[in-house]
Amino acid sequence: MHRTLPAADQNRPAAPPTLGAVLPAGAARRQRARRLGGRRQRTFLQIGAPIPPLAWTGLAVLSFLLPFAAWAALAASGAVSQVFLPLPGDVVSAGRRLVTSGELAADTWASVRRIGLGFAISLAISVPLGLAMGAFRAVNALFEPVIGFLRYLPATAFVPLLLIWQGIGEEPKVTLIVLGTVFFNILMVANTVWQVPTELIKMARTLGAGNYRIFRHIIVPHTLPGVIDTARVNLAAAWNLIVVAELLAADEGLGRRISVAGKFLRVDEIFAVLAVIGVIGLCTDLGLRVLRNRIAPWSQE
Amino acid sequence: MSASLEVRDLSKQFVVRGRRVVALEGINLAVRAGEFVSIVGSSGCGKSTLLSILAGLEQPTAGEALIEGRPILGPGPDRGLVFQSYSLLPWRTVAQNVALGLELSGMDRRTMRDVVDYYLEVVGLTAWRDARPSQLSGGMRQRVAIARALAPDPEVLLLDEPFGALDAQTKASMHEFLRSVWQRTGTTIVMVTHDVEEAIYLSERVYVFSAHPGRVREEVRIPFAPERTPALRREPEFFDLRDRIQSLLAAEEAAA
Repeated sequence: MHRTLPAADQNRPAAPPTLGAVLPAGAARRQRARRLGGRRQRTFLQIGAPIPPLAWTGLAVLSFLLPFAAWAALAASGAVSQVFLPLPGDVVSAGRRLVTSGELAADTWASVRRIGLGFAISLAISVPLGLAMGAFRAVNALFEPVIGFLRYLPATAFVPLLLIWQGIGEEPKVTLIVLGTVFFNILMVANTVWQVPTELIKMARTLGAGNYRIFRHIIVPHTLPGVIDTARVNLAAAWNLIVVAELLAADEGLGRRISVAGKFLRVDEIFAVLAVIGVIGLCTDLGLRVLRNRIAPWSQE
Repeated sequence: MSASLEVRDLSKQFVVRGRRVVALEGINLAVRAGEFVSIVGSSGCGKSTLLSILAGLEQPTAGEALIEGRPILGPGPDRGLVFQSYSLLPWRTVAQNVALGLELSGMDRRTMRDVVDYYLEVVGLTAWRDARPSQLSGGMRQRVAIARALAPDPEVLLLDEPFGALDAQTKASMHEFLRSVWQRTGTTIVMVTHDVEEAIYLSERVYVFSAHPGRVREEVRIPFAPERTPALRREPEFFDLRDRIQSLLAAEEAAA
């Protein structure tokens, strides 16, 4: 590209227009004053900045307290009928009633058993298959396309089929949990294997490891924390399915309790059962997190 | 123990998104048993691919790579490989990382302990044997990786830009360390690097590669005595060699 430049500019490129040249003098001075030394960074609003531990605790408490206070205020204000929005006290007494009658324990056990069994089956399928898909391209090519398709089918859409195939016993409820979680589990486990640096695998091969030992010494230890995290995420999905699962002619279960309470407009009972589900979820999540940090403290950094 | 290496008319092609890429073409080189040889070249000259082939992790498209006259068919305990990224197992301690290759070879626990202790001593990390990799600096991590590669007593040590991620001071001390390891063990060393001064300071010979496709452009003999000190880096002869190799690489850049 050729361009004729004025003689004076032959050796020096033209200076770019500065703010001072563009703006009036006063405005340029203010502009400069604003730029010099940068702007003070506010800890709480700086992306990724750490916050003091006390602030963390305070915010964590607020995270529960704010919605609770909003609910209590709204219910107490009378703006919404108590038929639709019970007072916190009513929910506590509904919960107490369910506990003393033994229904809550029976329901909880029924739901936990179904989710536990369904999720265990889901993991028993997805961990080996996901590891194999992550490690071998051929296995991945065979399964990934069909799983990519299946995972988009809503698990709840299988309910009529499950009733036809498996009747109204425990089986369709457990199968629904399996169907609703297994495809996500498989793909997420495969993904943890893809996160293993290829150099670790090459290194092991140069030290004489075959496939079995690469799995045992590299892939399994490296993916373990990721597999536990996968379980944490998808266990929540299992709880999402329990209400639908227990619509299928269940006698007991937390999901069943919610749908029965709904029929009788027992909103306080629904709230109580929801609280129980939330607490169970929080506890298992915490438990899995502790387990992960115990067996793979290196992955916390 | 140390072994010789030979590469004969070696070519390597990849197919990337349907397109054929020639990584290496007509490579001929030879490394004597116990020699320290470096390969320098700009990125894309296939130097790391050649190292992978020597390690047995990849197969050439044509030609052959030989160790002591026998074709290299796959990875083996006769060759140790060290990467720039250290590639340590974060869940293992320093000693357990060094022991990995010995474990895989089925060595009994007691012998393994002695061998690990010996190589921890060689790399100066005895005090850190129970530390985790995350507690170590970059230079220390690379020394663990070198100890791990040395522990199975390979006849050839292959280094793929081993000090590329280290700061200047650490790099300089690692150079002294590597020279002393080489003199102590007598292992054949082939190092791939893009640091010309590093190649000159450490090696007996330097192969300068050209890129696209990767070829041997020139073989440069480094005439310095085996006993080398950092003062060597300020000798006029050192500068001459550096300028010569750098101009070869620069001509390469200009041609690209």
